[in-house]
Amino acid sequence: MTAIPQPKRKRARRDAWVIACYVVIAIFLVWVLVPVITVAVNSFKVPSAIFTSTPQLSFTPTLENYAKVFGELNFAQYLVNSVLVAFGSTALSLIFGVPFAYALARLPIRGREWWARIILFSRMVPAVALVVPMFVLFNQLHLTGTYWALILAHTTFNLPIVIWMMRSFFEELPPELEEAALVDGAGRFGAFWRVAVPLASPGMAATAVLCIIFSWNEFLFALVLSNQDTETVPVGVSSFIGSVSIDWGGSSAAAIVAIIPIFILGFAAQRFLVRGLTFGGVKG
Amino acid sequence: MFATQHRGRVVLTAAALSIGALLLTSCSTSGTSTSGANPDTKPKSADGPYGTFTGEKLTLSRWAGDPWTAGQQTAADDWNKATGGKLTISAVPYENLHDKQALTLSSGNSSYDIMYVHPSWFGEFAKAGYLAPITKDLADPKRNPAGFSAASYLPSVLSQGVYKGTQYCLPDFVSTIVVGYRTDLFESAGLSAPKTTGDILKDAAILNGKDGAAGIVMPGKATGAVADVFGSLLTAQSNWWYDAAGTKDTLSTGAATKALNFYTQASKFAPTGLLNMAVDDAATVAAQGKAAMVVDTTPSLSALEDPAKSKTVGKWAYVPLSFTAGKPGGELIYWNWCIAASSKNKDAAYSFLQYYTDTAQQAKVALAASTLGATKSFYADKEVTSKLPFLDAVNSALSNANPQPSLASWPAIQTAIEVAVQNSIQGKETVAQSVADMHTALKGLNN
Repeated sequence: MTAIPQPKRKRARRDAWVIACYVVIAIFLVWVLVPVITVAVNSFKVPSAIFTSTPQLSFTPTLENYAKVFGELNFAQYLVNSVLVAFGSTALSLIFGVPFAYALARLPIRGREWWARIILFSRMVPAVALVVPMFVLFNQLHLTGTYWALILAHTTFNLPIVIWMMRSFFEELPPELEEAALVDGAGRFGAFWRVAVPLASPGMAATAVLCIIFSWNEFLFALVLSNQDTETVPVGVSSFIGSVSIDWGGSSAAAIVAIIPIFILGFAAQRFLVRGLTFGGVKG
Repeated sequence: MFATQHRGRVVLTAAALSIGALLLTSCSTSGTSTSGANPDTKPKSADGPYGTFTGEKLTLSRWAGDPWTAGQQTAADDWNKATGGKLTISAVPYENLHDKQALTLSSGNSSYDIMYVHPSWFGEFAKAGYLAPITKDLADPKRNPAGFSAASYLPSVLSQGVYKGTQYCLPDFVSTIVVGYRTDLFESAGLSAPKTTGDILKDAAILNGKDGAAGIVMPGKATGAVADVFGSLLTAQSNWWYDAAGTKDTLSTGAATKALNFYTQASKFAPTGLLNMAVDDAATVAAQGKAAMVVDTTPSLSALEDPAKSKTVGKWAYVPLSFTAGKPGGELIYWNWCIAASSKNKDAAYSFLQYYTDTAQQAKVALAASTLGATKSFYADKEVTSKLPFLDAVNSALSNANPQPSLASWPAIQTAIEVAVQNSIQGKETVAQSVADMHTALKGLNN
């Protein structure tokens, strides 16, 4: 007599919702992955197999494009440069950004909201508007063509990300923990270093991953401020675009090689990313 | 307790940062260094480079990509071995090359020694004082092989590197647009070699769809090649974009209409996706046996005779573009290499340029990339020229040729011209409207 059909209806509605979610996720995955898979497949094709009116799924794979990437192009050098620049910029951004963020979150600074907004402003200026002034500045400092030019340029863009994200993480921490450290004899820096930083480390890891990804993929500054010894991966990938032709196989292979380190990093840091990105997301 | 542990960590962090900074500084590039240079040293081997430049570091700025550019790296490696110098190639995407060079040169302490300078920005760089004159170097017997001088180059090509009477650049990689046609398909269809654009259209219509091949293929993508083909079609009608001074639009509406009619008609017998085809894409289509004819630059056409890329090796013959039989035309395509005025290694830079643009090196490049050298003796080298199947067609086309425009505003004008051609091919505009667009674009010559 009681309402048995109701749970059935509810279950059916829930199942429909779950199916809809899966469909949306599947569409999203197809949307995101098909281009990457196409690039991956093309990286194993000879030019004639790439340039067909209908995509060929049956072909004799070749490693010729990868040989080109590591042979003619010396892509290993681009990878080393990218690692140095990405990690250098991320380290610098964290060194300056984390204390800054903590200060904005905890210290009674007058007009701190305005400080935070001013910092964010540097992210709002189009990169193309900054590239020439930065070139002139670094040239005056004899830094163009060095790793420092790229590290400092990328830090300009990474620092606001670090400050804004870390500020949010620090604000989520219960202030009582730091107050306890202060009562135990730690100074403000001690409370920051010994208590706040370890507690916010998942957030720092997530922020660092985002900074590395930005720096890894950045093209414009890498092109203008580097020289042949310090060029990074995006410049290397673009080397396959000629004046009147594009080496699709070579650029596909280079793109796959460029993706792999970031893919591994993202996979390894997945735990931190999930924890870190949700950590500062909810405010009471 | 907090204080002691904290101090230890701070010291450790500071130490790690300092080591990182030192590593980065040491990894960062230093400037040029000079020692042990003697530009007058005779070559150690025949056709070798002049001078010893032990310890000198040079940078050559050029564009990246393109399949036929590896020869320059080989030449640089050989030059390094022979002279003790260290020439490195700095390659950036072509679309960024001008801006990167201009920005670097404007700083006054550029790291570039040798640069590829496109005709369209040669005048701009020469006027700005970014380029070093080489007239004296060319005339110096101590720095050149016996009998080698400015007179060793083809005058029409060498003159492209002259600004206000001063020689700034040395050319190489001479090429033009020609027509390749499949001899086997023509023979089986009972057709003779096409002599005019009218023949090409007629033959394309007959052969289109036979044996799974399109009638014709040519570049359709707006990368500069469409304008190169169009320029060749104009030259074949004794017309050109502008006057000798480069200040006045001289495009004849009649000639442009005929040229555009040819392009538009030919596109009807071309494979799908024509508007996405750059020069090498068109050549790949032809090499794979999917077109009976191809209109393209000779470097791209090298793919047709390359067994690794072509299923149709040995089945091609070449003719120049002509509207009237016996009156061919072409666009003179070449590369211009200049020395940066701010270079600290000008002698070494000239040594490389002389070595690279001379006949021996150009013969190697020609065989690998289907181009021609810019020196007169290149054409006397029968061993090389006999291996170039398109030589007669190129020579014929270049007997009536105009060089690529050397105007700062040309890249923008060229894009507008190519869009006009594409609009006509797609039927978005009539031929007359597209020609009118070209005239409008050419009005920007002095801007």
